[in-house]
Amino acid sequence: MILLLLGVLSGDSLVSGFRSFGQRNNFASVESIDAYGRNVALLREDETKTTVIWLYQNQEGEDESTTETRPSF
Amino acid sequence: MSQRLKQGLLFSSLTFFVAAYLRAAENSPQTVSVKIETILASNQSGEFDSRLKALEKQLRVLKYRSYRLLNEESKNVPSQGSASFEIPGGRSLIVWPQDFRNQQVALKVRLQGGQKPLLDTTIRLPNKGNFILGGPPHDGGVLVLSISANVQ
Repeated sequence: MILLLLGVLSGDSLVSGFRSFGQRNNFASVESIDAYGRNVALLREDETKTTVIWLYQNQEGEDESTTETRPSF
Repeated sequence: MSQRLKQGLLFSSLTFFVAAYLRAAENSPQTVSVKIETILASNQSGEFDSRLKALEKQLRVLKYRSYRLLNEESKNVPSQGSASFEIPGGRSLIVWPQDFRNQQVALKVRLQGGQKPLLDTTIRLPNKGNFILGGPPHDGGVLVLSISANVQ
């Protein structure tokens, strides 16, 4: 009975694996981010399936966003 | 024990072991090939480096006027291992592969300025996919890193 149950559960996990395979998207997904107090932006662009992490940092490497480091997304 | 029950048990056992094997094999990639392309983006000219053709559509999202490839480096990183890449301006990028499932690889990435951490992120990429990390100022522009991973 235990083996039967394990088999059913394993089969279910296989099926769910195939299901999630079909559903996965082509975006990179950010699970966590820590910029140590600096400003950071996250951009996902649909057409090219691009994920961008943008760190705002000035020439000295301290917290500040300058015109040069700021992209115009 | 009936013949039907025996067949059921055999099928269940086989399914269990096949599922366990496949899951273990997928969750533990042998080696992850990590490629870092370091690009200088600026508004100083209209130059687009032809070596960046494959990344052109992604880079245009950032709306800088010029893009120049400064460096390209690939390393094979064992699972549970890490690799360090040198980034211009005394920076470094350290990458730790985390796991691999559903054809997606998770990477822990740290950008450092000298010994000081600038950014930590954990990101899940489609196998053979990439993401862009940008912003650090350099040489009149900004550095843009394309980080891609390929599980072998």
